[in-house]
Amino acid sequence: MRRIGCVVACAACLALAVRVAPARAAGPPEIAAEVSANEIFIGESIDFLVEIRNVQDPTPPDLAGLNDDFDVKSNGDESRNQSSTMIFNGKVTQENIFSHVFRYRLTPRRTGRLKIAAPTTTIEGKTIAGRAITINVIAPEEQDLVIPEISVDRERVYPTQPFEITLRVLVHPLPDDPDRDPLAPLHSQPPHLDVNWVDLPAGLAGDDKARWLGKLLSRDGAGFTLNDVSTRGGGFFEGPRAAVLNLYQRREQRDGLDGRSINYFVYELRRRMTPEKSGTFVFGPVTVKGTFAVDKDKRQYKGQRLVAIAPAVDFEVREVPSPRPATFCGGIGQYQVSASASPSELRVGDPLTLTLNVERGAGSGSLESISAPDLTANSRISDDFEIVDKNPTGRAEGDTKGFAYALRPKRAGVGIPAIGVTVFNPDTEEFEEISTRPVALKVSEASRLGAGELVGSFTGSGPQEIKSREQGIFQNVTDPTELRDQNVNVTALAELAAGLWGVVGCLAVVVTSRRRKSGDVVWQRRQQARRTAARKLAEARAAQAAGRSPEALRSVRSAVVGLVADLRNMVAEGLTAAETEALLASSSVPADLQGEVRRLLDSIESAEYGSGSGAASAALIEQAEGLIVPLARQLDRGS
Amino acid sequence: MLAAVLSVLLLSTGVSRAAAPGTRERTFLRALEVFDAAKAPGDYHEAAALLESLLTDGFRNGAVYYNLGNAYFRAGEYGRAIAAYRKAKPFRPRDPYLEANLRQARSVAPGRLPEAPAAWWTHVFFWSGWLSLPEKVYSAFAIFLAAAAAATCGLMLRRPRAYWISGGLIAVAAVLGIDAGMAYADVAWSRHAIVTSETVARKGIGQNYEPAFDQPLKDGAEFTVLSENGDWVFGHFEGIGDGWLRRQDIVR
Repeated sequence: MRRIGCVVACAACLALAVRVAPARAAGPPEIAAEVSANEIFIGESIDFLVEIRNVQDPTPPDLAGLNDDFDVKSNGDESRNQSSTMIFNGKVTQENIFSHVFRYRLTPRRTGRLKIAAPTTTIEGKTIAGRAITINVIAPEEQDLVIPEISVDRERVYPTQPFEITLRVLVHPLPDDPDRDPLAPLHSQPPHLDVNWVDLPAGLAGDDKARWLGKLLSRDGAGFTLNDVSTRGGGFFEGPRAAVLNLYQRREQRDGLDGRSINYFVYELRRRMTPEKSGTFVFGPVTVKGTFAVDKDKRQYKGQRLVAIAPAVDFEVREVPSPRPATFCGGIGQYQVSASASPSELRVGDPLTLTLNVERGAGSGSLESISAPDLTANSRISDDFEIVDKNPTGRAEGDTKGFAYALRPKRAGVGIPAIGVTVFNPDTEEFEEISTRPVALKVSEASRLGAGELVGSFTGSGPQEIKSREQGIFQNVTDPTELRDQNVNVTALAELAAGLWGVVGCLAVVVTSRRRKSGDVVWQRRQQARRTAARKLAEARAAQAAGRSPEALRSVRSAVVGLVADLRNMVAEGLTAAETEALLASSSVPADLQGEVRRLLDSIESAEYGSGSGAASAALIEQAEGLIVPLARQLDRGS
Repeated sequence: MLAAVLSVLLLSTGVSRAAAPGTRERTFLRALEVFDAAKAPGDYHEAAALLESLLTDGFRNGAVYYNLGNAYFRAGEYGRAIAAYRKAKPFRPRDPYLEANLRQARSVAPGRLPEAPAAWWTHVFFWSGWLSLPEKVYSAFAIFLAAAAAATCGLMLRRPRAYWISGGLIAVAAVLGIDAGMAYADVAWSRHAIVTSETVARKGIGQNYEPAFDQPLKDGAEFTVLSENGDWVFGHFEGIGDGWLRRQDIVR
């Protein structure tokens, strides 16, 4: 607790010591403007940047003054706010630099010196303005050297109807060789096309750009470059280079400015597109820039640098007229519909799958726009069937899109009536209804499965009958005896199996060990040593009781010496007291025990060869009995 | 002795840990009655709820799963029906009616997708689709026991041929054991899941992410769970790709 109090006190002192200065901007609000070029050709665009400084969250500048001379398109905005904090002598100073850049793309509507009006914005009730900028918009000179044109193969279309847009560039033949490609001498610096539909405008679909242009790549380097389309160089270290496209198609006669007929080379860039939505799309203007050959001096062509512009073309994608029928499915063009049901034999309440296929005719709209017809709008279906899945997901395969509805008949004897679907015919510009044929069903009244309806009982018939039945589901399992827990305790079983094998292993160890030892005489002798000694002592007692003292003493000696010999695997016969003591010494038997054994054996020897009385024999037997157990233990330990 | 050990083992592994058998049977029969008398999806839902109540506390039974699938099928919940049939399969692999009903449910499910290819081990263990999970487990265990018995005979009767028999049985039991383990893992930690209501798969965890597919997924769309994060599950949909789904819109 004392430590925490210390930390809090230090923090408080530090807070008091530090004097925090308020955040502030670097200066008064200001607005700056700049353009990417001061001179352009009509049809080209420039980037116009407006930067508002020293305002934290400015509103976009007012560019209303530009709308007369320019088409203004916003290209987004970007905050460049920065904040820095300095601590000097305990004084904290925070400095904020506020800057916000708004980007626009301006396309001049006319030629001449055009003034870009000063952008203005209002900050805290005060209006500030930037500077006005003047640019020079150059009109293309009138010439018959290069003539670009834009055309569309259809006047108007409806969404999903494809159309083709074509850029045609007519180029004057070479002055000295009218049959040679006029772009061939320009391969070191091909003319450039600037086309605004290379990247598909939003709402239009078409071929992938790379695949579309890949087929047009020039092999000899003669042709046009296009926008920023590039291709990889042949060398390992070469970077991308501008792709040159061979667009040559044919020759075409036209009159030049002087009225003479000119056999132009015609280059075409075609693209097929499919509108995904209605609206007006503007294709162009397209600019052609480059140096074209106009004359030849000795062996050199004289070039003329020029810019030619094809005026923009507005193209309308019309909306499908409204109001639209409730059964309109989104199809535009020619379609056919068909229906099928499975199963066709069922009972009330059983599910059935109604498949509705919409097949597209040639030149019709995309299948993607075809949506599942709303069957609930068809009272004959909704009265007779419960529609489980009202809006199924369609599956398009080839020119057909299929919808699978799940239905349940509400009563017996009903069938699927003709299903009408409305599509829009763009040729007649009218809605047309197309219908399926009715689908007959056999719906029985049964509210529960009857025995006759079932393929068989659960334990009955074979699998061939299953294949023959295609409707409904099979009955429940009704036998309660099947209601047993089928869970299995795999872990317990695995542990049990392992344990069992452990037991088998232990058994194998024990059996093998016993077998091995049963053939070992030394081991058997050791096992029997104590019992042999005890038996001999019992014999000694019996002999002593019978008054056969010498025999009793021999038995006592035999018991003790035999025990030592058995446990040390020696021959007992002939072992002297000294040899016995030596054996005990080599077996690390304690000296006192050695001494006792030695004294016992000496006493027995004395008694045998002296006057061994019965009392002495009894005492020796008792002494031997007291020695057998510790002696055997010590010899076992020392073995 | 062996019989006693097996009896104890089977009692400990096979007996239900939940409701008493009599109660369970009554619930089972009641569910059958509700099912047979059902006339509306709500009645089938009631039968399904009764059957679901049997499957608590780890109780597993192929017949209950099968009947549960039938109840959900009739209730129009094809995703749940398919899930129940698939759960019944490891316990009733040779039941042709189960196979037929599963096929039927898959064919009418509005969100059906191409079926994922069978796991590699089902081709290696060709008998896998023929034996139920308990059969696999108990067979493997019984053959292990037989192998142990053969080894013991060989040991006690000094018959070397018995060791060879024991070795062969161990090999068979090991293969069956691996198959059983794979099947058990498939039941206990299944990665199979099914969409139960129309939902939009996303490219990330959250509704703000873009849809993963151009159309919503519908009831019955089966997929493989690749990973899980909170209330969201990332799955692989055969033939269309991967996407994140809310857990509430699926069943496993």
